[in-house]
Amino acid sequence: MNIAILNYGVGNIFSLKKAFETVSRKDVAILKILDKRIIESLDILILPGVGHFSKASSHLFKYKDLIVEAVDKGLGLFGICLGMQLLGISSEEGPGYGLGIMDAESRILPSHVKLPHMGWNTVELKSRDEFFTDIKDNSYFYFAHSYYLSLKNSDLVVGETSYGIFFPSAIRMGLIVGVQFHPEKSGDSGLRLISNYVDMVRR
Amino acid sequence: MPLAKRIIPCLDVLNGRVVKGVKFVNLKDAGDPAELGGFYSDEGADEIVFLDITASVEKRKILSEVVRKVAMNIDIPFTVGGSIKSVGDAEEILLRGADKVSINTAAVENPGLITELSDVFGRNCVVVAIDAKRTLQSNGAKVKFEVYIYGGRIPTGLDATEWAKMAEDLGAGEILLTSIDYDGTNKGYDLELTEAVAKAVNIPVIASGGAGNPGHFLRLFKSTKADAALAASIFHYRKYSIKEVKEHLYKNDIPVRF
Repeated sequence: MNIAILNYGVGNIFSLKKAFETVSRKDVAILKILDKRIIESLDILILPGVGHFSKASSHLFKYKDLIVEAVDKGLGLFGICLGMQLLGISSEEGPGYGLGIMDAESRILPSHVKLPHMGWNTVELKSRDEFFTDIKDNSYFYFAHSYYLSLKNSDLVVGETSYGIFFPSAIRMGLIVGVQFHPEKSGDSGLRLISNYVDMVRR
Repeated sequence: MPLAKRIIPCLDVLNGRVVKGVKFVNLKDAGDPAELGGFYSDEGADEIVFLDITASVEKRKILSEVVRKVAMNIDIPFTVGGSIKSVGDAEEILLRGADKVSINTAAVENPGLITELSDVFGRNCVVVAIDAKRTLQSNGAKVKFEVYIYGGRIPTGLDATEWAKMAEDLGAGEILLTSIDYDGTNKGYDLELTEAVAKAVNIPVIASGGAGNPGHFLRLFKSTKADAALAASIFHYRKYSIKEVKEHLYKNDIPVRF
């Protein structure tokens, strides 16, 4: 199994790499660029939660067709935090485009709550999805964000979180998943989620 | 369920070892940072804060290595502060496995740094630490809670509440507020200081300084808008475990994560 993180920002990618390596027992590559050959060698591509929407977009958008084509052929795509938002079309955070894989746009959380939404909050499961195997309903995960992905198709929402409003905190379309929280920073539940995903792709 | 109140053990690190003092002096050895970090992570800590207080020229290299070791041992959020003066310093710390950087003296001396860090890494990664001390109005002080820099040694004339608001406007994602008067005393948090700052800003506030028993945490969350409580000696010397503190809070209807 080949796993890589696409690095389009600056931040802590180390913990994400460590978490996927712990679970998959394989090395996880950190890539700055992609091409057809590289992407065809991968089983899972991770879009990490580092940086700003517009900056990440300017790096990522040129790979849109490449990623969409690979995903159609079965590549697993795992978006975390900003990486989840980049699965959508656009964001209120700034100009630029996401991959447009989901019909969705990122909005800012309501202003009557403290922003960023920072800390441990619960994920209420909307369906019993294999992505959350052995993870209890309303388990705590670690969040650090001010924007969330608002989806047109609520059938894709696996879990929701309440902070000022209910927003999608875990989504899934086949092997394309997105989580607004940081599973690599969410203790045992987070590692379990990553492990479930690796199993889903392996099957 | 609402956002959980966070319980955060703090590792003050000197020359690669965890130390703890009273009112910022009289430092005693309290263990290995990576070991303690892993221990707290397993014990249910919601986050680890790591403040480097080393003053030697070798500091950066030591810090970089210790950050990596702690990051290897934990799977919860990790904030590092103590020697970050530039975007380059912050980048190095984040790449070594920290999630957030905390700036204190550097932010007061160069407030633009807050904005620079926020623009490059995002607001979520930028913590502004404020060390505040109650002033004696009889000495002619103009503010009630004064910001001190350089490890609590040098007064600035800045009001802690005003400075917190300014830090928020400049791009801080969180305030780590330490009471110099209460730090290491085990007599409880400075509730008045915490509430003044937490009410003034719309970003999370971590209260620090004075925790001595689980009741102190409860009083903090019952009577202020603090989002998190930081403590060191109560945990380092095993007076109470993180679990005991959380159980006390849970019994009294404060949302916590188990």
